[in-house]
Amino acid sequence: MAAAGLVGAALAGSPVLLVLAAPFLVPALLGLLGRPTSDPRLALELGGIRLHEGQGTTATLQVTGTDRVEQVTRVLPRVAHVATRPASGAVSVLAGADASVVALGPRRWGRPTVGDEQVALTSAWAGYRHGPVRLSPQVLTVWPQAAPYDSTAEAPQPDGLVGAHRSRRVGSGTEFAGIRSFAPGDRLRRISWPVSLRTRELQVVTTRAEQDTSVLIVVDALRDIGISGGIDGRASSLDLTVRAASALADHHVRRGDRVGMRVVGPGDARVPFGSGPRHLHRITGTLTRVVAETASVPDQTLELGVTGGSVVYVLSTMLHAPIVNAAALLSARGVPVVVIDTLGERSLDELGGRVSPAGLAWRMRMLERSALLQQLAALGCPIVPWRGRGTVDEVLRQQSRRGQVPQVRVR
Amino acid sequence: MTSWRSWSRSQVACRILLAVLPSVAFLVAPVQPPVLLVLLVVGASCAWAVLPELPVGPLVLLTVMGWWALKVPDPVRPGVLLVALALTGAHVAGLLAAYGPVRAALDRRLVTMWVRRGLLAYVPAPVAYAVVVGHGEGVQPLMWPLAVGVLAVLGLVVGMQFREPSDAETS
Repeated sequence: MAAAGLVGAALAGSPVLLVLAAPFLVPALLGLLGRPTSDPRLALELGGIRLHEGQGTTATLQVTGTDRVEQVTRVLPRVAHVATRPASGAVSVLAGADASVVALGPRRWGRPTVGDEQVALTSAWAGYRHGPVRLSPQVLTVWPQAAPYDSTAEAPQPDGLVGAHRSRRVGSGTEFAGIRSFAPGDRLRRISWPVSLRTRELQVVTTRAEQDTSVLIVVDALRDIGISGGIDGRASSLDLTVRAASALADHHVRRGDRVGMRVVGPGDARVPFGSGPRHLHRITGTLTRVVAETASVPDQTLELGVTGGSVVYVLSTMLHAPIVNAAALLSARGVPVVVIDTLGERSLDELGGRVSPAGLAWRMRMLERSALLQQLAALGCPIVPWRGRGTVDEVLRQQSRRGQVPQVRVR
Repeated sequence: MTSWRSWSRSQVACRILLAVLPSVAFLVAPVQPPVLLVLLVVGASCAWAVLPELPVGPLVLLTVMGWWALKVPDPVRPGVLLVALALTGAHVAGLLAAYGPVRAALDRRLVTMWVRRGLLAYVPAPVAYAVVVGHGEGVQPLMWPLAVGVLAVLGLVVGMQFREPSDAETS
């Protein structure tokens, strides 16, 4: 433009063009002098690719291969439930330490794809521009938040090896079970000397065995009801389900139980029974991949493949027949089943009010669901809403008591 | 579609300057321009504000310069320095706006640096004005050698920047 102005001034004989074009000379000359001699290489480095929802990481841009970069523009795509700092997800700054770091904060569990940002670099005086270049995307693994959960209840029918639950079987635990006559093989330290002296016959104290149990967590991913607001906002039904499943798995693995998981929904993921931190890692990793079903759900029978002795937690909105039928079937077989209602509180305002078509349909659906839950409760299957700490304590104690009495089971 | 709530204030300010400054520089000329040309310049300025990375910006600036050079009688008046300042400001605002999308907030240090650069770039304008006013009619014979000299310098700089290293240097 400077050259055009000067040539125009000479051709037209107009000195005013000289005055108007003169300010463009310096930027043009200095811009040309700052020509980069090599193509820069760009790489994105994430501070961490595995984190819990609510935690943050950084996306650092590494520019190598050139030293003539003056300014950097980074434009990150908007990813659902991933907050950025700056909030706009776009920065235009001088090259340096500040330019290379953008903070990322996933607000919801899952596997968001980040890093496919566009980057443009400019040389001094904006003489040359490189890009915009799209960087390769990377996948973050966002584990569900470790919800505060604890339970003091014991498993109703522990049937494993060594664990923390009192078994009905007599064994080498600490809980008093009774006193009986000494038999060959009994340990001497089990002898109750006061009773033996009184009865003039050796008596030993028996205790209840302490065993672990197997816990199956059934995750209903047939629908996601509500809109997820991330960790700071309202929770959708799938948010509640996944966070509750994570908390339950964490609790039982810490107690030494064998935990398995079945995701009913797309992919039909299954985690076999296992224990230990690595197994917990596997379960939470599977939970991050849970997505809600979007197709219609056929009313087919769902076989969970559970044998007696396991405790089954069904985390569900109880809106679909396969899950309800499976819970009813297991309960009728005598398997301890606890249905944890993860529908949560839903406002009819989201559906346009109580008398809107969607609101009316929802209310009718809730009436049907209520009747279904009553029938399920009548079968002896407890249903509790998820409320964190102590959610299942009372029902597990009831199941333990019920486990002491003889039952007629459907085979 | 980007929501206007996500627009950064610095980008919006740059784009307002882009829409306003060339139009002001054009309209303050002492000659009444045709309505069609006014609409063209204002529309092009607005287009530049919306899409600052498009080459419509230099065209707008050249149009304003051309109008002042060709249609304004006795254009060498102090007011032309303000026009030069407006065009320089528009150029700087265009550069800043073209750095990123409208939601990308501009770094304060970057803006400060470009304001300083803009003022530095503006310095030749009063100098050229002083030369033009000082020499009066005698400036005409100097313009061709000046234009050729500047173009030669530009060509030399461009040539030096784009030259390929010879085999002897690389081996």
